[in-house]
Amino acid sequence: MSAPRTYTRDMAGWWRRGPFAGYLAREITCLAVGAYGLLLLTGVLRLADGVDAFARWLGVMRSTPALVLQAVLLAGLAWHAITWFLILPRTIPPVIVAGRRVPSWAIQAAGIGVALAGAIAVVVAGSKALAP
Amino acid sequence: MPDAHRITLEVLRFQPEGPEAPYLQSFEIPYTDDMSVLQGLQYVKDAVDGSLTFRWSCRMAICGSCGMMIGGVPRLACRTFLRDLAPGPVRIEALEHFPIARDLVVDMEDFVEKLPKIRPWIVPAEPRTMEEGEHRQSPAQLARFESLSHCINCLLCYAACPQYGLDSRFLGPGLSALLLRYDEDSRDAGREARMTVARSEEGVFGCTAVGYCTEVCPKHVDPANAVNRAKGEAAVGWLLSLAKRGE
Amino acid sequence: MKPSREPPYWLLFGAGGMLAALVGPGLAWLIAFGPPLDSARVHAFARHPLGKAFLFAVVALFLWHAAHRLYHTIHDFGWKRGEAEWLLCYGVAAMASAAAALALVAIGF
Repeated sequence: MSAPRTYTRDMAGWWRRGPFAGYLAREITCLAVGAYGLLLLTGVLRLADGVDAFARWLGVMRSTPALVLQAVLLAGLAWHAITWFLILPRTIPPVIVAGRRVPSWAIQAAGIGVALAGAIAVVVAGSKALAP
Repeated sequence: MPDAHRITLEVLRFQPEGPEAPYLQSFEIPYTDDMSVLQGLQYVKDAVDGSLTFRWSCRMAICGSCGMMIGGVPRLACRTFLRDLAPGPVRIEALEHFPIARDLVVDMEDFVEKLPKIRPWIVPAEPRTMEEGEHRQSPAQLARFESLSHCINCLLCYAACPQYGLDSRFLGPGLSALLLRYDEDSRDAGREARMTVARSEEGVFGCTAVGYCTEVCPKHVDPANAVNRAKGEAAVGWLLSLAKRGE
Repeated sequence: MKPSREPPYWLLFGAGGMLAALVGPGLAWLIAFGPPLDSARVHAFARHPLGKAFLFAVVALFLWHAAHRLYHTIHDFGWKRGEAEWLLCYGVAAMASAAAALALVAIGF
């Protein structure tokens, strides 16, 4: 006797429903990370052409269209950083401190704190070392 | 029913011998503040339409039978209360990502078939006799896997997982948590065999850390964490295999 | 059961994601909105071995992170993926890494 028929529901548009919009917004930040990596690559290639060529690249980076692009990428990178540490409690083994398990919110807060500190450190160190 | 309010349940019905596609049917029922969605469905079956089909058993969130989509969220019907869903209507459908067999009953054959593949039992390092006595396990050793052992196989995490919905070859959250439960148990020595499953193409790398499975789990198993820890172990295993090949 | 080929790409994705989270926003702010950078000093940074390592890491790891996540996200959108998509995503990352490496060597010491 063959098995009775079952009904399989369609997955189309699943990401528009329920809690998945947030997941999508997080995954899309990879476009900002990738685009920024390519932008940095153009800078590295200019560096290989010499100091003057790179000076021109820096000038282009301060043009209005480039600033608009960088502002968008900055927002994407910031959202990447925040969502990276929001999911971190799910991706690392339990952290035990003084016999107690560190709660998720503490891991998230610490992570975002480190990201903020990293951003400040890069800006401060970069400004000191690379700007006159 | 004294002190009864009324609420409408919108249930997705399906019969293999019936219409081609599932269809919604509304039932307006009386309810009291202590009634669960499960009790609401039981009222429908007892007093309105005896053909309504759904799984249930313990009524106390331990058997894992009554998982269904309530208001679009995977929930246990026995632990979801009509008073919290008032004024309604309450949309009730079979668990997502599984084929519907009849009404609110899904075909869970895929899960049942995968279950033995992860060897969900203690594989001892060597055979043990009664004279050797019991395994000793410290509270710290127990803590490594205890929450993972609370899984009731309710499949809410599979209904939550879009990757399982997109490709049912994926091992999925619940089985990954169960796999890790045994790997992390100090009495067990079956890690290598389970790792073969975990690092396979259908294994844990199908997960993209959506995290919804952990949100819906009624037993706080945190399957998302289990899957991603298994990824880490598989990746470390891969690095070690590179080192071994280099020797 | 066939082992997944994911582990190395997942590791690169993780490393890239962590690096991007820690230095990405800072770099983006510095280059666009910080004090104007001195091209000679940046060039000197790129001549230093540690500077080369940093610049290589940010280009390569950002791209490997993006490649892995993009490859998986197109699947989420229902795109029927094949080898072509895999080669495109990871191929771009590989080429960007190679280009960065060659350029950093060409800059000299």
